[in-house]
Amino acid sequence: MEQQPRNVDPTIALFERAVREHSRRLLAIARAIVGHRAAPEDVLQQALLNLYEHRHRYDWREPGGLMRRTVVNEALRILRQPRMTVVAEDHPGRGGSPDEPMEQDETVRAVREAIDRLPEHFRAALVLCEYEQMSYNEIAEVLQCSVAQVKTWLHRGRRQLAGMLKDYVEGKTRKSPDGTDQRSD
Amino acid sequence: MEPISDQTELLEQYLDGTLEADEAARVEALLREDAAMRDTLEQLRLERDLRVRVFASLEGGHREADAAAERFVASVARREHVRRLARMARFVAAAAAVVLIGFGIGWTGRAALDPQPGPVTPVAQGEAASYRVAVAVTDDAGNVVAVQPFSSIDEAERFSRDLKAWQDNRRQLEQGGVLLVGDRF
Repeated sequence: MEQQPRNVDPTIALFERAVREHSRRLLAIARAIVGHRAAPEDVLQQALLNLYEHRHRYDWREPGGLMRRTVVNEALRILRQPRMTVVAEDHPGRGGSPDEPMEQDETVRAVREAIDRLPEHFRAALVLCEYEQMSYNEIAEVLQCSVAQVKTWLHRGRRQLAGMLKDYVEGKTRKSPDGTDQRSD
Repeated sequence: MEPISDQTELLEQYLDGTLEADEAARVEALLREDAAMRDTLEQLRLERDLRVRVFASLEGGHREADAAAERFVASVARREHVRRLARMARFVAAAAAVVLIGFGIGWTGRAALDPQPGPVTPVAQGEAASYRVAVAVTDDAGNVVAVQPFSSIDEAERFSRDLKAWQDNRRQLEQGGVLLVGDRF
């Protein structure tokens, strides 16, 4: 019969399982919010460490929402710090997968860069709404603001993105007849 | 119901699925009648799908996320190990402190705990050794009623003679005899 090691905190086992289960999605949230302004892994590590320190306060049977909130808050906290180090671009799939057409990959990269130029709260609201599919109330709770503020951030974020991507699409279409790129950037 | 002030924002909320049922029904009625509105909705849907793709691309591979999770779990294990060692060190230090404090108290109070010698008796061992001769005083029945020590035989003999003369005089007096004034005792 296998014996359980002595003095093992059962919360730690639940916590570790939650980390393994959600790390991929949490890393994406951190990446989307901090962009190139900080290392997403550091954001994730610090957020998980904060949770670990207070692990006894939480119910680890449904930890997804809690972990997302913590990562978002940690990402925003890091972005609020006065000195920000720009980190190397380590976004996954930066080079595109072999199966993905180059043009689609280029479009995705352009959208990423446009998202990265949005104000941090616009980015956070968009990620939580469209990627995490949270309700406005949940987003307001995470970002500690009103629902009206969430609606405003989402609308403005989307419109700013549309404006930036319109420039990108127009730039792409300004090509010479022989197919060479005539953009001035 | 409030009038539609910003059609785009309303359609965004429709796509977010956050409209009340009657608002959603109203939007759907408008969409059936308005081709331009349908085009706008389609455009918004495309933009949204693109953003969701971009967010999903930030997830990275399972391997990368798993590695990040494992690094964190390992760091938690190390932290727990260090914490256990620190707890043990604290316990050992506390035990050592208790022993030291106990020793200090014992050392400081040892004078009070040690038995103190009583006052020196006037009879010294050398003095007792100097009593070499003792004279036993007996009653008429021969019982010893007193013992008188002397340091020399001369003193003992003198005491015996004096005692005998006193006893003779007393016996003579008790028998109606005459006590000579010149007798010395």
